[in-house]
Amino acid sequence: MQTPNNDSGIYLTISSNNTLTGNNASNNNNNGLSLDFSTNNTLIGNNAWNNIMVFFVVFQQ
Amino acid sequence: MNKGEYGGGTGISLSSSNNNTLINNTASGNCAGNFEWYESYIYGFGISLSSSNNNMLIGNNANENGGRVYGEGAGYGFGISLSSSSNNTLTGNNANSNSGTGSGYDGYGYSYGISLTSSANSTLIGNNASNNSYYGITLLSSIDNMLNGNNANSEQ
Repeated sequence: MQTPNNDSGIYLTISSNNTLTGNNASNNNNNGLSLDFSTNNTLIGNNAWNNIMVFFVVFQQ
Repeated sequence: MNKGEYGGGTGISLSSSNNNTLINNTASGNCAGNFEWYESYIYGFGISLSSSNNNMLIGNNANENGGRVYGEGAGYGFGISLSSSSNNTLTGNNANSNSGTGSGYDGYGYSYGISLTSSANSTLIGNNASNNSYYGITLLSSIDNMLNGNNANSEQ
């Protein structure tokens, strides 16, 4: 059983002029591929499948 | 968990990010879900742009994304979502069969193929936003956008 990343598979923050090609960022707990405050990047043919955030049971009366 | 709005389950997320190019990426089957019992709003996104400008999205697949609620509240599914984002270009993307679901007591589901909220000066050409359970393409509080030759068929 694989352990998922708890936030993002691939995370770019304050990053520029990067090229991401053919990466897989799947089955993580929040985002597959995430860019924050990032400019002039190129993403080609990446896979970001089945990223799932689950909130657990709380019953409120 | 208290009531509120919860995101998560995003294939590709751009936040405060400008001048990026996304070509032929696949962002499908992403979701957020809970077992909540009290006024929760859960979102699942294929591709999400928030406060992001001057980006180009070409030929991406953002299908079958959704938020799931079990109990009181709503689940929202978005193929491609632009929020407070301007001057973006979407060409030939697929945003099909997205589905938010709600079940149990007073739960509702909504879904959108391509959604623009508070977004301006974007161009949508030749995108497919079909078989989404609520809206194919929706604009809310958005101005000066151009839509040409998009497909938004068979919404349920």
